[in-house]
Amino acid sequence: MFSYYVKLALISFKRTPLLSFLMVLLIAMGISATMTTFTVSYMMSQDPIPSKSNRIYSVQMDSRGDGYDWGESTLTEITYMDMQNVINSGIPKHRVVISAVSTMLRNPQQQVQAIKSKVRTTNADFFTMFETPFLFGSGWDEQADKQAQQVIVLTKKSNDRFFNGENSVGRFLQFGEALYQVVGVLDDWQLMPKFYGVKTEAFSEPHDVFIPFNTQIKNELMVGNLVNNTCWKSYEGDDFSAFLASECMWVVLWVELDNDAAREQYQAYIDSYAQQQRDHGRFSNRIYNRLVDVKQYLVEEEIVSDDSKMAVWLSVLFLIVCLLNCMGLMMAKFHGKAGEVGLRRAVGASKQHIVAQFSVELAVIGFIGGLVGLILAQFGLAAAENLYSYLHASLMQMNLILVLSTLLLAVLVSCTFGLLPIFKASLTQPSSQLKSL
Amino acid sequence: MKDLAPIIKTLLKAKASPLLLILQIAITFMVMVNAVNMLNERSKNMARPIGVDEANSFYIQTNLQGESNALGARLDEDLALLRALPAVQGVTPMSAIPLEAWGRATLINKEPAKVFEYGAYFAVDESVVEVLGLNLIAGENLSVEDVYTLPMDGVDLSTNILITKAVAQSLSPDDWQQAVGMTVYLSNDKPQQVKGVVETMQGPWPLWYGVEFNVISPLREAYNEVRYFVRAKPGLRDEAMEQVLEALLKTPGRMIEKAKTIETLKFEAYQSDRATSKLLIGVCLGLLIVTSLGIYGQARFSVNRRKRQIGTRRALGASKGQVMRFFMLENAVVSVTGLVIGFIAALSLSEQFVQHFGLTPVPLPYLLSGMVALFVLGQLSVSYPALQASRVEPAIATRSA
Repeated sequence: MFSYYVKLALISFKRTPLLSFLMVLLIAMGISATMTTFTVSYMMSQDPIPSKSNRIYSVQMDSRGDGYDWGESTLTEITYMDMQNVINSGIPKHRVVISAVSTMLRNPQQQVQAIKSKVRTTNADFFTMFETPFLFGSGWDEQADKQAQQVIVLTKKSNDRFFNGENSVGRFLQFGEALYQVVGVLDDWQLMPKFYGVKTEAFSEPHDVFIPFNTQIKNELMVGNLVNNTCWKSYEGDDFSAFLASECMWVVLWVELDNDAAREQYQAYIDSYAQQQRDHGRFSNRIYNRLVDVKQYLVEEEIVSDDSKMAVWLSVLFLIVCLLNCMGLMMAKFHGKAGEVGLRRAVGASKQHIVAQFSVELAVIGFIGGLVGLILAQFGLAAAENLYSYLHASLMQMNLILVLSTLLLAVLVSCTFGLLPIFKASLTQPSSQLKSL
Repeated sequence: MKDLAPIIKTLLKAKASPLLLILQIAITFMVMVNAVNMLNERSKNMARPIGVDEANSFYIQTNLQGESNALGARLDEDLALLRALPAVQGVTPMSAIPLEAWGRATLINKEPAKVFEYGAYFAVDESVVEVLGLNLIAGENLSVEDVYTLPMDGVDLSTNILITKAVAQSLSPDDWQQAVGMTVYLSNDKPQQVKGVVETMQGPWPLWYGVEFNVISPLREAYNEVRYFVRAKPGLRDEAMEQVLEALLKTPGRMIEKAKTIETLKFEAYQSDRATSKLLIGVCLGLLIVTSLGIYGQARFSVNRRKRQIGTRRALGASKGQVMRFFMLENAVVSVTGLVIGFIAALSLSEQFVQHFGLTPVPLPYLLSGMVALFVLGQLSVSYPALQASRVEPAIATRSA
């Protein structure tokens, strides 16, 4: 029966090509607009690291002692000394320190201009906790962290730029005036959103190279405008050690805690640490330490912009207008088929048969509309890529789930909006139509 | 107007198709006026003056080399070098640049340790008003005696400061001019004396509510990293930028981190707003096209269906004009109903936007002009099918089906 109805639907297209074409077009337009904006918003709000996003926590310790009432708000950065004091706790499985500097990089064997580059400074755990894929070599080891060795990990892009994509492990890169030895080259790797650094860079590519945090400290590389730095208390002296000993909050700390027990244990650990510090006159505002997991962090830091959510709502309204319009066309179409309905009813088709036949017809139209909508949505996404050129291009790509849900949505909405026209058509009295035939 | 009663009767009888049109018009209206309101708000934001000479200015971010006690001297050398260039009108070191999206937030308090207002902090030298092209509207300008040169953060020092009018208004709401001479406390609770008030200068973050709340402090912060705000002689911006870069790069070990015109900075600062604006325009256009097509299609369909009726009316003496008027009026009834519903819907959507996205409510003139515009669009869309209806020949009534 189903295939017969599909055949009838196709015949009906041929009979009213303009009407059917318009219906497909309207569905396609609405669907493509909705799916374009939804794709961007969906890709923005996806889980960056599904395997462990509920186990990775941002460590936030409010060490401020300025006498203000800061309410709920904390900073995502902590002081250098607090980081130093808690980093060696064995409770977390991994502990990752995050900061950044900028420098001039070049391949010392080439006679080329050095390139201004962004440098992520972190520790060995970074590569294990985030499970970064390596093209060549690997991350540095804890020994390199301890000794603050001048080692460097490149992204694939940087390796292409400085070493033409060759295996550069063991070679040297000129880092400002110093030489750093390459220990690893990352394969294509992108957390989306890139939550671990500053919020404004959540949808941009990883920094060009990675070096040990301790090497940054040893070489006194000042943080520039790549990290947030809150100095609520002035400090004496103007050298680097004075900065490190200050109350300035500029180091980001992430930990991986295996289970709730470990989480509670670690919370107790940092709380008791803060209490100790309070006894020595620090943390004088309050003791307010938070472990914020990745999902909550994304919400708290408002990583997905209001604009992208609003765009989805607008396009859903656009889809509804398209569908209302389409519904008008369905009415017209089924009205024109009253004669056919009357005849089918007269020769024994029940109301249910009529409903089934027209539902199939609308589902077919919806499906074709969905297909055309998918194609239009690709153009829409290409336009979006152009429009949002400052965001990462991978946000404007549909995955299989999105493709399938596009088609499903198209069929579903066309049938839903077809309920009333179908119902009206099924009410046609056999006798009224047969008279005029 | 005597057509009105039969029109309403027919519409009530048909129920579904006119209802669809009414809903379409209502939603289109609701989305359109809110979108136009948002567009307008965005373009207003983008049109706000930065307060500086946008066309002729640029900035350089570069490094100073040497031990920290020698950096002040390096800064003097750089400034002397740049100020002597033929295309340069003035240069000031600046701790942050308006709209750069990086800077220092500070508290602005009337008494220590109480959150009163947030703003941004700028450390500059005494030439700031002339170099940026600020408009000093009360008090006095900074002088050479006010300026310190130190490798430290300016909020840790008590100085004479300039504030923007927005800060003055918030410190002294009754008479902002009274803010001159007041003592205020910045983040580290060091007292600062307000020496003068400038009309506008935007802070580093254009989308922040505190964008107009800025404190300008006469402190040349001699760090390894410095920013020079350069104003070129009128029309010579690009030449000045070339000369400045060439002069700076003569020093060995010099790194130019950034060299950007204020126009570029402004363009980049609002790129997400521009993207959203384009999207809004796209949605509005799409809605208008779909809705007018809907009105057109619906009218054609109903004209075709009522051909015999129209013929009969014509045969009974109705003029072409009367037939056309009938369809125009029918559309008017549908449009007005849709617009009234849309009006209510638009207000409640606007209310939602105000609550969730912090937008301003849609002003009444927008709603009214939106209604007129959509009404006219409806009449235009229906005019061709109505014209066709008027051309139906009376003879059609006599032909049997």
